[in-house]
Amino acid sequence: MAGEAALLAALQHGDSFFPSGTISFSWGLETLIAEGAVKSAADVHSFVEGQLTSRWATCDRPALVATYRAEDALDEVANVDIKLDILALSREMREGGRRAGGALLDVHSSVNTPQAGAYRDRVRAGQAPGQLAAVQGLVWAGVKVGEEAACAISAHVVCTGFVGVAIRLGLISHIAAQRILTGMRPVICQLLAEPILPFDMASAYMPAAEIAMMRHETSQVRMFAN
Amino acid sequence: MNGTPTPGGQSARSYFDQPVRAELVFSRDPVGRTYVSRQYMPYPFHICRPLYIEHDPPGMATLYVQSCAAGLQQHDDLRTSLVVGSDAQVHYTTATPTIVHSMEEDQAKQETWIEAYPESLTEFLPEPLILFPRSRLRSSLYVSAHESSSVIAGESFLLHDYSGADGVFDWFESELKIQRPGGTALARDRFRITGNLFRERRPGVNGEFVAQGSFVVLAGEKFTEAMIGAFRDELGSSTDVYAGVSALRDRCGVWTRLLAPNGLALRGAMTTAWVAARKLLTGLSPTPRRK
Repeated sequence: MAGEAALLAALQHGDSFFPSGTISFSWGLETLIAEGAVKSAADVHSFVEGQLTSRWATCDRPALVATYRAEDALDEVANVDIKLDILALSREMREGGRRAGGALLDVHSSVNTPQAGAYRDRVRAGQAPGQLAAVQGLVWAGVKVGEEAACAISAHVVCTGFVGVAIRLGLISHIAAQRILTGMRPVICQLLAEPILPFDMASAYMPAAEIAMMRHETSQVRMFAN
Repeated sequence: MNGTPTPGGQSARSYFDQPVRAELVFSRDPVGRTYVSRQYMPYPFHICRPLYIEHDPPGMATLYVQSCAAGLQQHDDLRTSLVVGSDAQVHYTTATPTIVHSMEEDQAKQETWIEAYPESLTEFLPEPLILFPRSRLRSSLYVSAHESSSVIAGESFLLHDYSGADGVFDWFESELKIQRPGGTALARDRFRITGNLFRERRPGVNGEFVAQGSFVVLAGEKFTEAMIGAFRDELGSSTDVYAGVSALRDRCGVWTRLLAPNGLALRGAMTTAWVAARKLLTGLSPTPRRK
Protein backbone atom coordinates (compact mmCIF):
# COMPACT_ATOMS: atom_id res chain seq x y z
CA MET A 1 0.00 0.00 0.00
CA ALA A 2 2.86 2.34 0.90
CA GLY A 3 4.44 1.60 -2.48
CA GLU A 4 1.20 2.39 -4.26
CA ALA A 5 0.85 5.65 -2.34
CA ALA A 6 4.39 6.65 -3.33
CA LEU A 7 3.65 5.75 -6.96
CA LEU A 8 0.49 7.84 -6.92
CA ALA A 9 2.39 10.76 -5.37
CA ALA A 10 5.04 10.48 -8.09
CA LEU A 11 2.36 10.41 -10.79
CA GLN A 12 0.70 13.50 -9.32
CA HIS A 13 3.89 15.55 -9.06
CA GLY A 14 5.35 14.42 -12.39
CA ASP A 15 2.13 15.11 -14.27
CA SER A 16 2.06 18.15 -16.56
CA PHE A 17 -1.46 18.70 -15.12
CA PHE A 18 0.25 19.79 -11.87
CA PRO A 19 0.16 23.63 -12.01
CA SER A 20 3.88 24.22 -11.63
CA GLY A 21 4.18 26.83 -14.37
CA THR A 22 6.99 25.00 -16.16
CA ILE A 23 5.17 25.30 -19.50
CA SER A 24 6.21 28.96 -19.65
CA PHE A 25 9.90 28.16 -20.15
CA SER A 26 11.86 26.85 -23.14
CA TRP A 27 15.43 27.16 -21.72
CA GLY A 28 16.80 28.28 -25.09
CA LEU A 29 14.88 25.84 -27.28
CA GLU A 30 12.54 28.53 -28.65
CA THR A 31 15.51 30.49 -30.02
CA LEU A 32 17.30 27.39 -31.32
CA ILE A 33 14.17 26.44 -33.25
CA ALA A 34 13.65 30.00 -34.50
CA GLU A 35 17.28 30.18 -35.69
CA GLY A 36 17.15 26.79 -37.39
CA ALA A 37 19.60 24.95 -35.15
CA VAL A 38 16.78 22.57 -34.14
CA LYS A 39 14.59 21.77 -37.10
CA SER A 40 13.35 18.18 -36.84
CA ALA A 41 12.11 15.59 -34.37
CA ALA A 42 15.58 14.01 -34.51
CA ASP A 43 17.11 17.34 -33.52
CA VAL A 44 14.67 17.66 -30.61
CA HIS A 45 15.60 14.14 -29.51
CA SER A 46 19.30 15.01 -29.63
CA PHE A 47 18.73 18.32 -27.85
CA VAL A 48 16.76 16.74 -24.99
CA GLU A 49 19.34 13.99 -24.54
CA GLY A 50 22.10 16.61 -24.48
CA GLN A 51 20.30 18.66 -21.82
CA LEU A 52 19.73 15.58 -19.68
CA THR A 53 23.35 14.48 -19.92
CA SER A 54 25.13 17.83 -19.81
CA ARG A 55 22.90 19.83 -17.50
CA TRP A 56 20.32 17.82 -15.61
CA ALA A 57 22.60 14.96 -14.46
CA THR A 58 25.53 17.18 -13.56
CA CYS A 59 23.81 20.21 -12.05
CA ASP A 60 20.06 19.92 -11.42
CA ARG A 61 20.16 16.44 -9.98
CA PRO A 62 22.97 17.18 -7.47
CA ALA A 63 21.12 20.35 -6.37
CA LEU A 64 17.82 18.53 -6.01
CA VAL A 65 19.37 15.71 -4.01
CA ALA A 66 21.21 18.17 -1.75
CA THR A 67 18.03 20.04 -0.82
CA TYR A 68 16.00 16.82 -0.62
CA ARG A 69 18.46 15.49 1.95
CA ALA A 70 18.54 18.82 3.81
CA GLU A 71 14.85 18.29 4.66
CA ASP A 72 13.92 20.79 7.38
CA ALA A 73 17.32 22.53 7.48
CA LEU A 74 16.20 25.56 5.48
CA ASP A 75 19.55 27.35 5.88
CA GLU A 76 21.18 24.46 4.07
CA VAL A 77 18.50 24.54 1.37
CA ALA A 78 19.10 28.27 0.92
CA ASN A 79 22.84 27.71 0.70
CA VAL A 80 22.40 25.29 -2.21
CA ASP A 81 19.78 27.56 -3.77
CA ILE A 82 22.11 30.58 -3.76
CA LYS A 83 25.01 28.57 -5.20
CA LEU A 84 22.71 27.34 -7.97
CA ASP A 85 21.71 30.92 -8.71
CA ILE A 86 25.37 31.93 -8.95
CA LEU A 87 25.95 29.17 -11.50
CA ALA A 88 23.23 30.63 -13.75
CA LEU A 89 25.21 33.20 -15.70
CA SER A 90 22.67 34.51 -18.18
CA ARG A 91 19.74 36.63 -17.02
CA GLU A 92 16.94 34.57 -18.55
CA MET A 93 18.40 31.34 -17.23
CA ARG A 94 18.71 32.80 -13.74
CA GLU A 95 15.32 34.51 -13.74
CA GLY A 96 13.64 31.52 -15.40
CA GLY A 97 14.94 29.24 -12.64
CA ARG A 98 13.68 31.66 -10.00
CA ARG A 99 10.24 32.09 -11.58
CA ALA A 100 9.75 28.36 -12.13
CA GLY A 101 10.89 27.62 -8.58
CA GLY A 102 8.68 30.37 -7.18
CA ALA A 103 5.62 29.05 -9.01
CA LEU A 104 6.22 25.53 -7.69
CA LEU A 105 6.71 26.89 -4.21
CA ASP A 106 3.45 28.85 -4.37
CA VAL A 107 1.44 25.77 -5.31
CA HIS A 108 3.02 23.67 -2.58
CA SER A 109 2.47 26.41 -0.04
CA SER A 110 -1.18 26.46 -1.01
CA VAL A 111 -1.53 22.71 -0.48
CA ASN A 112 0.43 22.89 2.80
CA THR A 113 3.45 20.86 1.78
CA PRO A 114 5.78 20.86 4.81
CA GLN A 115 8.37 23.68 4.74
CA ALA A 116 7.03 25.14 1.47
CA GLY A 117 5.39 28.12 3.17
CA ALA A 118 8.39 28.85 5.37
CA TYR A 119 10.75 28.70 2.41
CA ARG A 120 8.45 30.84 0.27
CA ASP A 121 8.65 33.49 2.99
CA ARG A 122 12.45 33.42 2.73
CA VAL A 123 12.28 33.82 -1.02
CA ARG A 124 9.82 36.70 -0.74
CA ALA A 125 12.11 38.35 1.82
CA GLY A 126 14.99 38.15 -0.66
CA GLN A 127 16.95 35.74 1.52
CA ALA A 128 16.95 32.99 -1.13
CA PRO A 129 16.41 33.04 -4.90
CA GLY A 130 14.11 29.99 -5.09
CA GLN A 131 15.79 28.22 -8.00
CA LEU A 132 13.70 25.40 -9.47
CA ALA A 133 15.96 22.41 -8.73
CA ALA A 134 16.50 23.53 -5.13
CA VAL A 135 12.75 23.96 -4.61
CA GLN A 136 11.98 20.61 -6.24
CA GLY A 137 14.19 18.80 -3.73
CA LEU A 138 12.58 20.61 -0.81
CA VAL A 139 8.95 20.10 -1.78
CA TRP A 140 9.27 16.57 -3.09
CA ALA A 141 10.95 15.56 0.16
CA GLY A 142 7.97 17.21 1.87
CA VAL A 143 5.42 15.13 -0.05
CA LYS A 144 7.54 12.02 0.53
CA VAL A 145 7.94 10.76 -3.01
CA GLY A 146 11.31 9.11 -2.28
CA GLU A 147 14.69 10.45 -3.39
CA GLU A 148 15.07 8.31 -6.49
CA ALA A 149 11.51 8.98 -7.55
CA ALA A 150 12.12 12.72 -7.06
CA CYS A 151 15.10 12.50 -9.43
CA ALA A 152 13.04 10.53 -11.95
CA ILE A 153 10.21 13.07 -11.76
CA SER A 154 12.69 15.91 -12.28
CA ALA A 155 14.20 14.26 -15.36
CA HIS A 156 10.74 13.44 -16.71
CA VAL A 157 9.57 17.03 -16.21
CA VAL A 158 12.64 18.28 -18.11
CA CYS A 159 11.74 16.00 -21.04
CA THR A 160 8.03 16.80 -21.11
CA GLY A 161 8.83 20.50 -20.86
CA PHE A 162 11.08 20.41 -23.92
CA VAL A 163 8.82 18.27 -26.11
CA GLY A 164 5.93 20.52 -25.02
CA VAL A 165 7.85 23.52 -26.35
CA ALA A 166 8.51 21.75 -29.66
CA ILE A 167 4.81 20.82 -29.99
CA ARG A 168 3.60 24.33 -29.23
CA LEU A 169 6.01 25.80 -31.74
CA GLY A 170 4.63 23.41 -34.36
CA LEU A 171 7.89 21.53 -34.91
CA ILE A 172 6.78 18.06 -33.82
CA SER A 173 3.53 16.14 -33.39
CA HIS A 174 2.19 14.64 -30.17
CA ILE A 175 3.14 11.20 -31.49
CA ALA A 176 6.71 12.30 -32.20
CA ALA A 177 6.82 13.75 -28.68
CA GLN A 178 5.82 10.39 -27.20
CA ARG A 179 8.52 8.67 -29.27
CA ILE A 180 11.09 11.09 -27.88
CA LEU A 181 9.89 10.53 -24.31
CA THR A 182 10.11 6.77 -24.83
CA GLY A 183 13.61 7.18 -26.26
CA MET A 184 14.68 9.18 -23.21
CA ARG A 185 13.65 6.45 -20.78
CA PRO A 186 16.84 4.35 -21.11
CA VAL A 187 18.92 7.55 -21.04
CA ILE A 188 17.32 8.60 -17.77
CA CYS A 189 17.64 5.09 -16.32
CA GLN A 190 21.35 5.08 -17.13
CA LEU A 191 21.85 8.53 -15.59
CA LEU A 192 19.90 7.52 -12.47
CA ALA A 193 22.19 4.50 -12.08
CA GLU A 194 25.27 6.71 -12.01
CA PRO A 195 26.62 8.08 -8.71
CA ILE A 196 25.24 11.47 -7.70
CA LEU A 197 27.84 14.24 -7.84
CA PRO A 198 28.38 16.22 -4.64
CA PHE A 199 26.69 19.57 -5.22
CA ASP A 200 29.97 21.51 -4.93
CA MET A 201 31.15 19.58 -8.00
CA ALA A 202 28.05 20.60 -9.99
CA SER A 203 28.71 21.73 -13.54
CA ALA A 204 26.84 22.28 -16.78
CA TYR A 205 27.92 22.24 -20.39
CA MET A 206 25.30 23.56 -22.79
CA PRO A 207 26.87 26.65 -24.36
CA ALA A 208 24.55 26.75 -27.38
CA ALA A 209 21.45 26.71 -25.17
CA GLU A 210 23.02 29.38 -22.91
CA ILE A 211 23.76 31.59 -25.91
CA ALA A 212 20.23 30.98 -27.22
CA MET A 213 18.80 32.18 -23.90
CA MET A 214 20.96 35.31 -24.08
CA ARG A 215 19.78 36.00 -27.62
CA HIS A 216 16.18 35.39 -26.55
CA GLU A 217 16.42 38.52 -24.35
CA THR A 218 16.05 40.68 -27.47
CA SER A 219 13.87 38.36 -29.52
CA GLN A 220 10.90 40.19 -31.02
CA VAL A 221 8.56 37.18 -31.08
CA ARG A 222 8.46 35.24 -27.82
CA MET A 223 6.05 32.56 -26.72
CA PHE A 224 8.20 31.52 -23.75
CA ALA A 225 9.96 33.34 -20.91
CA ASN A 226 13.43 32.13 -21.93
CA MET B 1 64.05 30.94 -12.98
CA ASN B 2 66.03 28.97 -10.43
CA GLY B 3 69.37 28.94 -12.26
CA THR B 4 69.32 25.29 -13.30
CA PRO B 5 69.01 24.20 -16.93
CA THR B 6 65.40 23.87 -17.99
CA PRO B 7 65.03 21.84 -21.18
CA GLY B 8 62.05 22.92 -23.28
CA GLY B 9 59.29 20.41 -23.80
CA GLN B 10 59.68 18.75 -20.42
CA SER B 11 56.91 18.66 -17.87
CA ALA B 12 57.62 21.22 -15.17
CA ARG B 13 56.20 18.87 -12.57
CA SER B 14 58.44 16.02 -13.63
CA TYR B 15 61.42 18.38 -13.72
CA PHE B 16 60.94 19.86 -10.27
CA ASP B 17 58.83 17.03 -8.83
CA GLN B 18 56.44 19.52 -7.30
CA PRO B 19 53.73 21.96 -8.36
CA VAL B 20 54.93 25.20 -9.94
CA ARG B 21 53.86 28.46 -8.33
CA ALA B 22 54.40 31.70 -10.24
CA GLU B 23 53.72 35.16 -8.84
CA LEU B 24 53.45 38.61 -10.34
CA VAL B 25 52.59 41.81 -8.52
CA PHE B 26 51.85 44.99 -10.44
CA SER B 27 52.04 48.41 -8.80
CA ARG B 28 51.69 51.98 -9.95
CA ASP B 29 54.62 54.32 -9.51
CA PRO B 30 54.29 57.99 -8.48
CA VAL B 31 54.12 59.19 -12.09
CA GLY B 32 51.31 56.81 -12.94
CA ARG B 33 53.22 54.05 -14.67
CA THR B 34 52.44 50.44 -13.86
CA TYR B 35 55.47 48.24 -13.22
CA VAL B 36 56.21 44.72 -12.01
CA SER B 37 57.00 45.25 -8.34
CA ARG B 38 57.49 41.57 -7.57
CA GLN B 39 58.01 38.55 -9.77
CA TYR B 40 58.69 34.90 -9.31
CA MET B 41 58.40 33.06 -12.59
CA PRO B 42 59.92 29.56 -12.41
CA TYR B 43 60.16 27.13 -15.32
CA PRO B 44 58.23 26.80 -17.59
CA PHE B 45 57.07 30.43 -17.36
CA HIS B 46 58.95 33.18 -19.13
CA ILE B 47 58.08 36.87 -19.27
CA CYS B 48 59.52 39.76 -21.21
CA ARG B 49 59.77 43.27 -19.80
CA PRO B 50 56.47 45.19 -19.72
CA LEU B 51 55.56 47.09 -22.85
CA TYR B 52 53.84 50.47 -22.97
CA ILE B 53 51.77 50.59 -26.11
CA GLU B 54 50.36 53.55 -27.99
CA HIS B 55 46.61 54.17 -27.51
CA ASP B 56 46.54 52.30 -24.21
CA PRO B 57 45.57 54.24 -21.09
CA PRO B 58 48.65 56.20 -19.94
CA GLY B 59 51.00 54.03 -17.91
CA MET B 60 49.26 50.72 -18.71
CA ALA B 61 51.67 47.78 -18.82
CA THR B 62 51.32 44.97 -21.34
CA LEU B 63 52.93 41.71 -20.33
CA TYR B 64 53.42 38.72 -22.61
CA VAL B 65 53.81 35.40 -20.84
CA GLN B 66 55.41 32.50 -22.64
CA SER B 67 55.97 28.85 -21.88
CA CYS B 68 59.42 27.31 -22.35
CA ALA B 69 57.76 23.89 -22.34
CA ALA B 70 55.84 24.50 -25.59
CA GLY B 71 52.51 24.09 -23.85
CA LEU B 72 50.94 21.96 -21.16
CA GLN B 73 52.21 18.42 -20.68
CA GLN B 74 50.98 15.51 -18.62
CA HIS B 75 51.76 15.89 -14.88
CA ASP B 76 51.95 19.69 -15.18
CA ASP B 77 50.54 21.51 -12.17
CA LEU B 78 50.96 25.23 -12.77
CA ARG B 79 49.60 28.01 -10.66
CA THR B 80 49.90 31.71 -11.42
CA SER B 81 49.04 34.49 -9.00
CA LEU B 82 48.47 37.98 -10.41
CA VAL B 83 48.06 40.83 -7.96
CA VAL B 84 47.09 44.13 -9.55
CA GLY B 85 47.61 46.87 -7.01
CA SER B 86 45.56 50.00 -6.47
CA ASP B 87 45.36 52.20 -9.60
CA ALA B 88 47.58 49.82 -11.60
CA GLN B 89 46.60 48.96 -15.18
CA VAL B 90 47.69 45.70 -16.81
CA HIS B 91 47.09 43.85 -20.05
CA TYR B 92 48.20 40.24 -19.49
CA THR B 93 48.34 37.90 -22.46
CA THR B 94 50.25 35.06 -24.05
CA ALA B 95 52.24 35.33 -27.24
CA THR B 96 50.77 32.19 -28.77
CA PRO B 97 47.99 29.70 -28.14
CA THR B 98 48.75 27.12 -25.46
CA ILE B 99 48.93 23.59 -26.76
CA VAL B 100 47.60 20.96 -24.39
CA HIS B 101 49.58 17.94 -25.48
CA SER B 102 48.39 14.35 -25.84
CA MET B 103 48.81 12.44 -22.58
CA GLU B 104 49.54 8.82 -21.92
CA GLU B 105 48.90 9.05 -18.21
CA ASP B 106 47.69 11.48 -15.53
CA GLN B 107 46.49 14.98 -16.47
CA ALA B 108 47.57 18.62 -16.55
CA LYS B 109 46.32 21.31 -14.23
CA GLN B 110 46.56 25.07 -14.43
CA GLU B 111 45.18 27.63 -12.02
CA THR B 112 45.24 31.40 -12.24
CA TRP B 113 44.39 33.66 -9.32
CA ILE B 114 43.73 37.34 -9.94
CA GLU B 115 43.42 39.89 -7.16
CA ALA B 116 42.26 43.27 -8.45
CA TYR B 117 42.71 46.13 -5.99
CA PRO B 118 40.72 49.39 -5.89
CA GLU B 119 40.62 51.50 -9.06
CA SER B 120 42.79 49.01 -10.94
CA LEU B 121 42.23 47.80 -14.51
CA THR B 122 43.11 44.19 -15.31
CA GLU B 123 42.86 42.62 -18.74
CA PHE B 124 43.48 38.88 -18.62
CA LEU B 125 43.36 37.70 -22.22
CA PRO B 126 45.48 34.65 -22.99
CA GLU B 127 45.37 33.13 -26.46
CA PRO B 128 43.22 29.98 -26.77
CA LEU B 129 44.01 26.56 -25.40
CA ILE B 130 44.42 24.03 -28.21
CA LEU B 131 43.32 20.63 -26.98
CA PHE B 132 45.19 17.83 -28.70
CA PRO B 133 43.79 14.29 -28.95
CA ARG B 134 43.93 12.36 -25.64
CA SER B 135 44.68 15.47 -23.58
CA ARG B 136 43.24 15.91 -20.10
CA LEU B 137 43.18 19.34 -18.53
CA ARG B 138 41.73 21.00 -15.46
CA SER B 139 41.86 24.76 -15.91
CA SER B 140 40.69 27.25 -13.27
CA LEU B 141 40.49 31.01 -13.10
CA TYR B 142 39.66 32.63 -9.76
CA VAL B 143 39.07 36.37 -9.65
CA SER B 144 38.79 38.50 -6.55
CA ALA B 145 37.72 41.95 -7.69
CA HIS B 146 37.31 45.03 -5.54
CA GLU B 147 34.06 46.94 -6.20
CA SER B 148 35.95 49.86 -7.77
CA SER B 149 38.24 47.74 -9.94
CA SER B 150 37.63 46.83 -13.58
CA VAL B 151 38.42 43.35 -14.82
CA ILE B 152 38.20 42.03 -18.36
CA ALA B 153 38.84 38.29 -18.57
CA GLY B 154 38.60 36.04 -21.58
CA GLU B 155 39.21 32.33 -21.94
CA SER B 156 38.85 30.16 -24.98
CA PHE B 157 39.64 26.75 -26.40
CA LEU B 158 39.47 24.75 -29.57
CA LEU B 159 40.33 21.21 -30.48
CA HIS B 160 42.85 20.16 -33.07
CA ASP B 161 44.12 16.85 -34.31
CA TYR B 162 47.61 17.39 -35.77
CA SER B 163 47.41 14.03 -37.57
CA GLY B 164 44.47 15.19 -39.64
CA ALA B 165 42.28 12.46 -38.20
CA ASP B 166 39.23 13.03 -36.00
CA GLY B 167 40.91 12.56 -32.62
CA VAL B 168 39.56 14.40 -29.60
CA PHE B 169 40.69 15.26 -26.09
CA ASP B 170 39.81 12.83 -23.29
CA TRP B 171 38.29 15.47 -21.06
CA PHE B 172 38.48 19.15 -20.27
CA GLU B 173 37.34 20.73 -17.04
CA SER B 174 37.04 24.47 -16.67
CA GLU B 175 36.08 26.69 -13.78
CA LEU B 176 35.73 30.45 -13.47
CA LYS B 177 34.88 31.85 -10.07
CA ILE B 178 34.42 35.55 -9.39
CA GLN B 179 34.09 37.03 -5.95
CA ARG B 180 34.56 40.19 -3.92
CA PRO B 181 37.59 40.44 -1.60
CA GLY B 182 35.37 39.63 1.40
CA GLY B 183 34.38 36.34 -0.19
CA THR B 184 30.94 37.21 -1.60
CA ALA B 185 30.51 35.08 -4.70
CA LEU B 186 29.35 36.89 -7.84
CA ALA B 187 29.48 34.26 -10.56
CA ARG B 188 30.68 30.75 -11.19
CA ASP B 189 31.03 28.96 -14.49
CA ARG B 190 31.96 25.31 -14.20
CA PHE B 191 31.86 22.72 -16.93
CA ARG B 192 33.36 19.33 -17.61
CA ILE B 193 33.22 17.85 -21.07
CA THR B 194 34.55 14.75 -22.67
CA GLY B 195 35.90 14.73 -26.18
CA ASN B 196 33.28 12.18 -27.15
CA LEU B 197 30.48 14.48 -25.99
CA PHE B 198 32.04 17.37 -27.89
CA ARG B 199 32.26 15.22 -31.03
CA GLU B 200 28.53 14.43 -30.89
CA ARG B 201 27.87 18.11 -31.74
CA ARG B 202 24.40 18.10 -30.26
CA PRO B 203 22.13 21.10 -30.76
CA GLY B 204 22.00 23.02 -27.49
CA VAL B 205 25.43 21.71 -26.46
CA ASN B 206 28.16 22.77 -28.90
CA GLY B 207 26.15 22.29 -32.09
CA GLU B 208 28.31 22.40 -35.20
CA PHE B 209 31.07 24.34 -33.50
CA VAL B 210 34.57 23.25 -32.47
CA ALA B 211 35.80 26.35 -30.66
CA GLN B 212 34.45 28.23 -27.66
CA GLY B 213 35.15 31.47 -25.88
CA SER B 214 33.92 33.11 -22.70
CA PHE B 215 34.36 36.76 -21.90
CA VAL B 216 33.51 38.56 -18.69
CA VAL B 217 33.68 42.24 -17.83
CA LEU B 218 33.37 43.42 -14.25
CA ALA B 219 33.12 47.15 -14.15
CA GLY B 220 30.18 48.03 -11.94
CA GLU B 221 26.53 48.48 -12.71
CA LYS B 222 26.93 51.83 -14.46
CA PHE B 223 28.62 50.17 -17.46
CA THR B 224 26.40 47.11 -17.69
CA GLU B 225 23.70 48.33 -20.09
CA ALA B 226 26.11 50.11 -22.41
CA MET B 227 28.43 47.10 -22.45
CA ILE B 228 25.60 44.71 -23.30
CA GLY B 229 24.50 47.04 -26.09
CA ALA B 230 28.03 47.30 -27.49
CA PHE B 231 28.58 43.54 -27.45
CA ARG B 232 25.22 42.92 -29.11
CA ASP B 233 26.08 45.42 -31.82
CA GLU B 234 29.51 43.89 -32.42
CA LEU B 235 28.85 40.17 -31.96
CA GLY B 236 25.10 39.54 -31.87
CA SER B 237 24.55 39.62 -35.60
CA SER B 238 27.90 38.10 -36.53
CA THR B 239 27.76 35.31 -39.09
CA ASP B 240 31.24 34.13 -38.08
CA VAL B 241 30.34 33.10 -34.53
CA TYR B 242 27.29 32.22 -32.47
CA ALA B 243 27.36 34.60 -29.53
CA GLY B 244 25.21 35.87 -26.70
CA VAL B 245 25.61 38.46 -23.98
CA SER B 246 23.82 38.99 -20.70
CA ALA B 247 24.06 40.72 -17.32
CA LEU B 248 25.60 38.86 -14.42
CA ARG B 249 23.81 38.52 -11.08
CA ASP B 250 22.99 41.87 -9.46
CA ARG B 251 24.21 43.51 -12.68
CA CYS B 252 27.78 43.45 -11.38
CA GLY B 253 29.14 42.78 -14.83
CA VAL B 254 28.60 41.37 -18.28
CA TRP B 255 28.96 37.83 -19.50
CA THR B 256 29.51 36.71 -23.09
CA ARG B 257 29.68 33.20 -24.42
CA LEU B 258 30.53 32.42 -28.02
CA LEU B 259 30.93 29.38 -30.23
CA ALA B 260 33.01 29.46 -33.39
CA PRO B 261 33.63 27.12 -36.35
CA ASN B 262 37.43 27.58 -36.20
CA GLY B 263 40.27 29.28 -34.40
CA LEU B 264 40.35 32.27 -36.72
CA ALA B 265 36.72 33.19 -36.09
CA LEU B 266 37.22 32.58 -32.37
CA ARG B 267 40.22 34.88 -32.18
CA GLY B 268 38.45 37.56 -34.21
CA ALA B 269 35.41 37.52 -31.90
CA MET B 270 37.50 37.59 -28.72
CA THR B 271 39.44 40.56 -30.07
CA THR B 272 36.22 42.33 -31.03
CA ALA B 273 34.86 41.85 -27.50
CA TRP B 274 38.09 43.14 -25.97
CA VAL B 275 38.16 46.26 -28.17
CA ALA B 276 34.50 47.02 -27.39
CA ALA B 277 35.07 46.63 -23.64
CA ARG B 278 38.26 48.73 -23.66
CA LYS B 279 36.59 51.52 -25.61
CA LEU B 280 33.69 51.69 -23.20
CA LEU B 281 35.82 51.57 -20.06
CA THR B 282 38.58 53.96 -21.14
CA GLY B 283 37.30 55.79 -24.21
CA LEU B 284 40.36 54.55 -26.08
CA SER B 285 40.51 52.08 -28.93
CA PRO B 286 43.49 49.77 -28.33
CA THR B 287 46.21 48.97 -30.80
CA PRO B 288 45.99 45.30 -31.82
CA ARG B 289 48.72 43.26 -30.13
CA ARG B 290 51.41 41.77 -32.34
CA LYS B 291 51.47 37.99 -32.04
